[in-house]
Amino acid sequence: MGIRKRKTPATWIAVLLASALVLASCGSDDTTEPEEEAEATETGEEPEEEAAPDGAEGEEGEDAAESDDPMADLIAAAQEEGTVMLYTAWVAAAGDNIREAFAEQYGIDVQVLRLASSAVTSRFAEEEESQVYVADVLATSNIDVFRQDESENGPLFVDLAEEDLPLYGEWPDCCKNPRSMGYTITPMTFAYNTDLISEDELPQSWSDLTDPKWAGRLAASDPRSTAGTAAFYEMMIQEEGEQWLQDLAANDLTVVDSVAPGAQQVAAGEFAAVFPANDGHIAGLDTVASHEMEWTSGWLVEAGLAQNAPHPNAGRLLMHWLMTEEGQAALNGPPIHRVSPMYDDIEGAIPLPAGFRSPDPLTAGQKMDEYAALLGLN
Amino acid sequence: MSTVLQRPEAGRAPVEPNAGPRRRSPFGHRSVFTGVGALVAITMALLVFTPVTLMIYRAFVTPEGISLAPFQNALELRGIGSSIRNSIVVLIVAGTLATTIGTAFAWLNERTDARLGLLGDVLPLAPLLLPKVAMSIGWVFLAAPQAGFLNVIIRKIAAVFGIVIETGPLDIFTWPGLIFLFTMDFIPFAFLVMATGFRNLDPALEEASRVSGASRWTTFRKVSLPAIRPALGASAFFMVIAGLSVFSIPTIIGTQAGIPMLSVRIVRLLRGQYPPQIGEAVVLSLLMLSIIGLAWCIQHLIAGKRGRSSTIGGKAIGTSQFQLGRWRWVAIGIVGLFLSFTIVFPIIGLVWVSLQPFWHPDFNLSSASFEAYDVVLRQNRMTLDALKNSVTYGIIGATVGVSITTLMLVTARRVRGTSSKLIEGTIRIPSGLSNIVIAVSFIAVFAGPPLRLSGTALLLILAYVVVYMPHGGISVESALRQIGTDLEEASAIAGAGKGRTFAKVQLPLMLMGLGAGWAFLFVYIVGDLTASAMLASSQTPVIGFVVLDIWENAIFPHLAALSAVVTLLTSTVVLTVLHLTRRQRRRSLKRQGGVATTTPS
Repeated sequence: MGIRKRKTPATWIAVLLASALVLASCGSDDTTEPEEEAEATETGEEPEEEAAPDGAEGEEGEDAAESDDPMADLIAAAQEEGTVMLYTAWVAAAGDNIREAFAEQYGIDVQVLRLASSAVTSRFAEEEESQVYVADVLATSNIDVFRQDESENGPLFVDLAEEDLPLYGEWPDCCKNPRSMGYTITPMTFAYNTDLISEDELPQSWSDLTDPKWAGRLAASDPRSTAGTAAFYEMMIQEEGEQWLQDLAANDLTVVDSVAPGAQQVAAGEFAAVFPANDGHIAGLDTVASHEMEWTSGWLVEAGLAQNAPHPNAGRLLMHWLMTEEGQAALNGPPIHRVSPMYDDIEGAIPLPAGFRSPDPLTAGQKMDEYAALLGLN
Repeated sequence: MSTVLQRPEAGRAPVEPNAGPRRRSPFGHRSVFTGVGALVAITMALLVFTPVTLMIYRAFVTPEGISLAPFQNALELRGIGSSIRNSIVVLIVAGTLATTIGTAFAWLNERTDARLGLLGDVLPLAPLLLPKVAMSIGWVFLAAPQAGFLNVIIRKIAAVFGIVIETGPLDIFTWPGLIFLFTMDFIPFAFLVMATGFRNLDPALEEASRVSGASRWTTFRKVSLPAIRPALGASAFFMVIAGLSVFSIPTIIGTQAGIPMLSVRIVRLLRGQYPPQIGEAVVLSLLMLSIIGLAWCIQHLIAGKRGRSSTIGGKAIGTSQFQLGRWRWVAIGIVGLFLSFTIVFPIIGLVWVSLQPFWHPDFNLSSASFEAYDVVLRQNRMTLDALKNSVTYGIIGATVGVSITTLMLVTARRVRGTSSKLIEGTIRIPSGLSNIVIAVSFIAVFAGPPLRLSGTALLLILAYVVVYMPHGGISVESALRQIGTDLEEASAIAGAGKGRTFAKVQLPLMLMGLGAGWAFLFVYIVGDLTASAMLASSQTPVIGFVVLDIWENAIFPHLAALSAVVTLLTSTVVLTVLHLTRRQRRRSLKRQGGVATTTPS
């Protein structure tokens, strides 16, 4: 008697491990051994191709008469770095547009890490604390990270005023801060299902939403999803008082995780409308339209250049380029449709709504749980 | 699995002919094998405990001294009481339901003639065939009160009979909906553990009871149930582990249903706000840990001393079968229904939405297209990379995880005493900490200098192995539980060293359990959401990372398409492993010769 040797299990294990190795090598075009990756992050990549157009000629429509020389140097240095890492809360389409247009203009690869504001900011902060420097530019609605820039290791973001960015001086004050820029404004709208709400039924103002006729038909974006969304609720409290939130909740309101899934469900007819919403998230949804209230606010995502950016020149160039018409078109044009703070004639961008009020995500970001409690969420 | 060993013929020594003179190990009576096992255990312990300890340290120790502020703040968090309460309620209700149903299924499969065959083998793996997040999203598409596919059909059918239904009748965004999904998720645990328990139950006990005149029900109540009590305890305990950390179901269903839960709260503290409240998250995680610790103690009380439950000995085991007759088909039908709810229905929901330009209840086939799949698989480069990466990391992580856990548990069995408990604790502890907490601790310790693993595949895989070690441990422990110590002893007497015993005696017997464990781990890793979101990067995108991205950007057809593709992936792997282990089992049964494994009672 004896248990006969079984080759099969060992064979299968070997097969599995072999396939793992094969797959690992297949999938490792971009993802390589950890040591190699660490190196790549630290030293930056060499540009794979020389960018064909000369830097100065590549900037079409630029009032670059005097700034040719410093810009040319910056562009050359940026191209030498070859890549720039953007941590952003902007929608994916914006990242895609930016990557395409920037690469076309300068031949520099834009790598995008896209997460919700708080997540992307936390990621950035954790990496800074661990002294792992990956991001060059951070764009987030958690603007406290730019305002309260007093970390132990010094400011996390570069003072832009001292950077000689040509367009910085002309940029509107609303969207310009010492360590961050507002490159885009996303107005808040009331997104509704056109089959379920007729034109004459549409509300005129946010305060109308507590009307009993809306009972059980509305969805609201969770104030805890981003500081930008919370700013809406802060504004409503300023305008209507806390009672407004409680009346909303009493009106059988459903709170959805965030704007985007809310819009998708409105399209499906789960709700008649969702707010605050924005045009970007209703693109492609045939049954959903946007309605402008008599006054509104917006999401303000600001971007800053990291003090410890691994690709400082490419980062600077990106910060500058986003102020140009090309950059603004990438960020605010189709399919995103947002407001450019600077230019009125960007194709596909939308004008600033008439009753626009500046948001205060700084305050709102601290009170998210309060709004949630008023909405009956806790 | 009832492996049967032939009794040795009289007169033949039970020693392998090639044994030869017994070699003296250079370590005296300790073997190299146990040494390696101990080393692995120590390494894993360091991997688990160091980051977590450092993180707790950071949370409570400030330059001014020890601060208990995080405790204070955690208690004062708005709504934390209801989050904790809801989590416990869901655990208890869903756990009870799942244990009952799982036990019933296990009993059907092991103790009656309603042998489910392939169904019975798929059953424990059912919710693993599609990631939890895909299952939740699929059920949203099916049972959302207005636009859910099932609701639309039910309303249409009702209209034919003149009944007008305004909304629903199903609503997944409710307490019943939430408990339903949790129960579906728990049942395979219960089934797996209870099936093993039943398999190990010596039928001689039940036969004796029947022969003494007890009815089937009395036999079940007085003989079978008490004998599988340890398994019941284990099943409940594992559900506590699994249930507390579940994030995907509460985040998709719970928020919109207005049912806050603890796991979501912890993730929100770390990811959903800036600056993250790490101290408070750590406190809540410690709370989770104490709940699990309590459950562990209760389980040990229930289980009693190890070895008391019957195990596979060297004797032939037959199974006594309960004859169901016609009811067999009812039973099989019920199991089939469960599998439909868990796998088929959500997949239908996902595929249905993936073919539409946007989610809409009135689906006409003319607007169906594979556009979403094209975007997800071809246009969106990151999704494609994420799929490749997840598969790779899944294979590596599952193999490493199962190997390490097996080594550790086998060593634990040998070592006994405190060391044994420590090893088992090392395997279990990660479950008491939310995946998120582990991920954060990994960032704190491994991402920066001197290791600088941030954004690397290695960090991700390490995190997966640590996070899912408890889940791997469940399967390995089940497999190991079946093997009685007398087989080890027999092997030792025959002259085999510990390594040889492991390779030739224990491993082949455990193989099916290990195969299941491997499949579990693979699916968990591929379907992982929270650790991936924290540790993956654009350099190393993985499925969970991308799913979260699409959910927040929420183009539902893309989400549906990606979920469907991932489901295809995970189910292919799981079913392949299942097929292999079934074939293995059939071969091993054939090799045992004429001794049947099932004897008619």
